[in-house]
Amino acid sequence: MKTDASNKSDRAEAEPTVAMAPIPVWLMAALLVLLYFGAWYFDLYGGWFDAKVYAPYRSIPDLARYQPNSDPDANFIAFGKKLYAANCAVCHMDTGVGNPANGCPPLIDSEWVGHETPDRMIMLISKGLTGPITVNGKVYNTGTMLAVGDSLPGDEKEKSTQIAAIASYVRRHFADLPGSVKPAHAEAVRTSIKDHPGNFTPEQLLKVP
Amino acid sequence: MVFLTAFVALAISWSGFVLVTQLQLGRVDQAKTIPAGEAYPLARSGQAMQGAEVYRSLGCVYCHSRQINQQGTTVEVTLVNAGTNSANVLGAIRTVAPQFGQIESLANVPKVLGQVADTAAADSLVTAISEAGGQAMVEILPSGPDISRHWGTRRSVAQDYIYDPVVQPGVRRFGPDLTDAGRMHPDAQWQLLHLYAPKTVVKDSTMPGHRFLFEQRKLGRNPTPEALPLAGDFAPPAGYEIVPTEAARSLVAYLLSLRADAPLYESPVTPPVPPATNDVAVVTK
Repeated sequence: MKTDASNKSDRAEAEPTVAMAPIPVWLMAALLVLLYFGAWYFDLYGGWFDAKVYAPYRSIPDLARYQPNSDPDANFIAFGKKLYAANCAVCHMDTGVGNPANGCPPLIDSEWVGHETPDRMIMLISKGLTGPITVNGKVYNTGTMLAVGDSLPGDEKEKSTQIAAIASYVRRHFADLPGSVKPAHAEAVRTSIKDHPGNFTPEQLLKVP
Repeated sequence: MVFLTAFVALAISWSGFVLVTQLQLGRVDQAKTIPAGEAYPLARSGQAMQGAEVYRSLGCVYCHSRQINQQGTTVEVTLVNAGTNSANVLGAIRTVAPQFGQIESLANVPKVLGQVADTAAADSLVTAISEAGGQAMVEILPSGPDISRHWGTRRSVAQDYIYDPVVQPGVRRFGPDLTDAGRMHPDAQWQLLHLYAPKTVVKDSTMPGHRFLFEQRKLGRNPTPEALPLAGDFAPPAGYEIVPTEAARSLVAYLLSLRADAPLYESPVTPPVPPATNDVAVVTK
């Protein structure tokens, strides 16, 4: 130490000067990495300050993964709703009130829709219906309901699934019946009426349990 | 200049702590539970609201917190009924959830099959089991130290406090958390005994007795119906009885109203709550 000091005192030190020094590239890179990490961390854990998101959940989609599914048939019934709008709503209307002026019966307050088993409805949708039908004490001179089910696209299995979806939607939405119609059940019913010629009549359907 | 700087500094912190919070949670209102759809929370009765003031004035918050922490959530599938063809059900389980392949038999139902990733995976497993003739249920189970202690069934959220005129989440836990006090001990008699002399019902309790909330009365011709059934060391002198005052009854009404286990969107939990067990020894009389 002493020798160093004595050496230095021998010659005059250069005056310090101010000069421009470039920011080191590694510092910029480190800052960028930190910024990236911060944004990533916030995105993952911040929940975007949503009032519904609390730890240990990280975001609304994460929270949604833990929501109990109160209705396991919800997706199937939504599918049925789409098919109903495309195939049935022309006559029965979106609201299910029907079109009495043209002899088309309503689906709301209908004992046909509210029947405990879906078999009649599956047959009716499959093959259509001819003849006057009594719904909720009123006679509707229907003329003919077309065989909507048989004219649906796809093979037998796909048709059964679509008919089950329509029946599920109609039963749930217009009669408030729980559960859904299973495609396998629709397929079994359709197999049993495969050789039925033409449309059904209400009398024929009333014999079905 | 100094004024402006101070103003800006205060304004920024006010916006952050008060304004943003208010915008975020200021309009939280009664919500519906999921999936039952019941209104939550319900307003407290008048007596319970008076009890809330007693709770405040006694400083219960210095020893009891009212906030449940949660560290994780698991989704489990429990087999409730294996049906008549358990081989079929087992096959369905192995097809949909190969991670449960080590399950050899479906005896001893209800049987916890195990943990799945989320409710969608759980739903598909439950659907497959029901198509195979069995019956299963999905359970959403919050976890964490507070929940292991049975202090609560799920984490506390802002919704739980909207009918509290003064929110007292607390910072110390010399006693147990009281978020679910009404669920843990729904018996008013238990609560009154616990307030009068905690050791009558919880042997190792360190809580001080609150005897000033009770009145020592001379026995009249008939004993007062609401007098406490005390025996042994805690019994009053012969010819006297211990009767809770209005303050004690209000406080108990408030404690019984403390219950935050409703399943909400922000804190999902499976509705059937297992019965709370008392993790402290109970003196049998």
